[in-house]
Order: sequence, then C-alpha cells, then structure tokens
Amino acid sequence: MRAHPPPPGGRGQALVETVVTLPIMIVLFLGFLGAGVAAQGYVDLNTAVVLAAAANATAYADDRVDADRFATSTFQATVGHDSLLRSQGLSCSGDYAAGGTVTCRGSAVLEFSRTPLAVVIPFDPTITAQASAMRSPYRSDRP
Amino acid sequence: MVEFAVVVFAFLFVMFATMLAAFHSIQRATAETAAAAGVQVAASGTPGRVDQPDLAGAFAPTRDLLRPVMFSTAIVRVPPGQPCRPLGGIAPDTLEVCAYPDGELVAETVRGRPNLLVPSFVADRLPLSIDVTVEMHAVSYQP
Repeated sequence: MRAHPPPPGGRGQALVETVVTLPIMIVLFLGFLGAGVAAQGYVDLNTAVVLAAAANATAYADDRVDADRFATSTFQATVGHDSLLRSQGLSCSGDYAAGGTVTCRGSAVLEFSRTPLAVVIPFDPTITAQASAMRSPYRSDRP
Repeated sequence: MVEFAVVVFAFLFVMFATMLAAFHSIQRATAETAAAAGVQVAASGTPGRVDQPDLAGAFAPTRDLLRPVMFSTAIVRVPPGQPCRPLGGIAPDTLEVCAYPDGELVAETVRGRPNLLVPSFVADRLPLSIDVTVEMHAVSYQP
C-alpha cells in the first residue's frame, strides 16, 4: 500500500493551530491566576477592615479621636504585611456612643504591576471593603 | 495516538494543578480568618491582668479554625511574645502560630508549609507556603 500524500498546506496546519491555541491558553491560565490573586487580596483587605472596625469599637465611648486612631493603625499595620496591597486609607463613621455601631470602609490598590501577571492585567485596580462593629454598651464608658 | 496521549497528559496536569491551587487558596483564606480570630483574643486583656494583652490566648481559636483544612499538618504554638521563625527554618507539613506585641498593637502570624496531600518531592518544589500576619490595637478599656 502507498501512503496518501498530505493535502496541500496540510503540513502547516498543526503549527497554525498551535500558534492560535497557545497564546489563548497562556492568557486564560494567567487570567485565572490573576483572579485568584485578586480574591486573595480582597480576603486580606476585608480582614484588615474587620479588625479595624473591631479595634475602633474597643476605644472608650464617645472618644472619636482615639477610636479612629486605633482603627487606622490596625488597618495600616495589617495591610502593610501584604506585599500586593497598597493602602488607600480607611474611614469610619457611625455612632461612637456606648452600644453604638461604627462602620469602617477601607480601600487599597492591588498591585498587579509588581507581579508577572501585569502581562495580562496591565492595571492596578482599587478594591474596597466595609465592616461594622458594635461598641460594648456596658464596659466602654470612660471610668 | 500520540496526540491523544499529549492531550490526556496536558488535561490531567492542568486539572491537578488547578485542584492544588484551589486547595491552597482555601488553606490560605482559612489561615487569614484564623489569625484574625486569634489576634482579637490576643489584643484583649489577660484574665487577672487586664492591662496586659492575652498573647497566650491567641493559639486556641487559631488552631481550632485551622485544623479542619490542614490535613496531616502540625500546628505548633510558638511561646507567646516571640515572632515566628523565617519560612526556611520551619519544617515541612508544619504551621507555626505566634502572637507578639508590636508597640501599641498586637500581631499574630501563621506561617509554614502545610501538607498539600501530594508526595513530598512534589510539595517541596511548589511555592505554596502560608505566611499571614494580622495586627490589632490592644483593647484599651476593661471592666
């Protein structure tokens, strides 16, 4: 038996398929990786804001200056441990009296530009998170 | 036949890598949550000495949250007040939990290389370690 000769142009078909498929596969792979890193960054930011709100609620009632200072130092220190996040600040508002609820909102820049993922994600998105905490109605009044 | 073998290998490789990455994401997110739970205890007062952070109290809630997702991983308590060792000094399949003061703040770190349920010669080559640090302002009011 004699083998059939390849159709005209058939020898380049595999190469063309590879050239088309490979970049798509790489972009998809890096895209999924980027989504994972973004999710991780959001978890870290959310934790920092939750702790900041909790720290705010541990200051004496009606002492807004100290309460916000506690929250900000907690937020900055926790975000500072994450190499991919750059803090954009924290703001808290609400009822600072005993038994009141304070809500804090923090934001940070997710620095994809510091990773190889910048190839497929050429910008650094700003992400935000929000958390609330209630000041103790019984123990938080200044003695 | 060759194409089929290549495709099957690539499919299994990608699926395995994806499952491993997903499992690591769960472990890291849990470590973040566990550290946040522990640091809130650490930032509160020690029973009997309410002006002192309860560094020793941070380990139990952290360990209890970590345990369900850290299969065959030793969760080691570092003496309160001491920071964790660098990642390179921690044995495989081990996580260290440490709580220590940082100025007005209290920090907690969960660091190490958890068991990924894959052979050690594979796990040793993967950059899937956990290194999470959170901080919180020490509680200022007490009964």
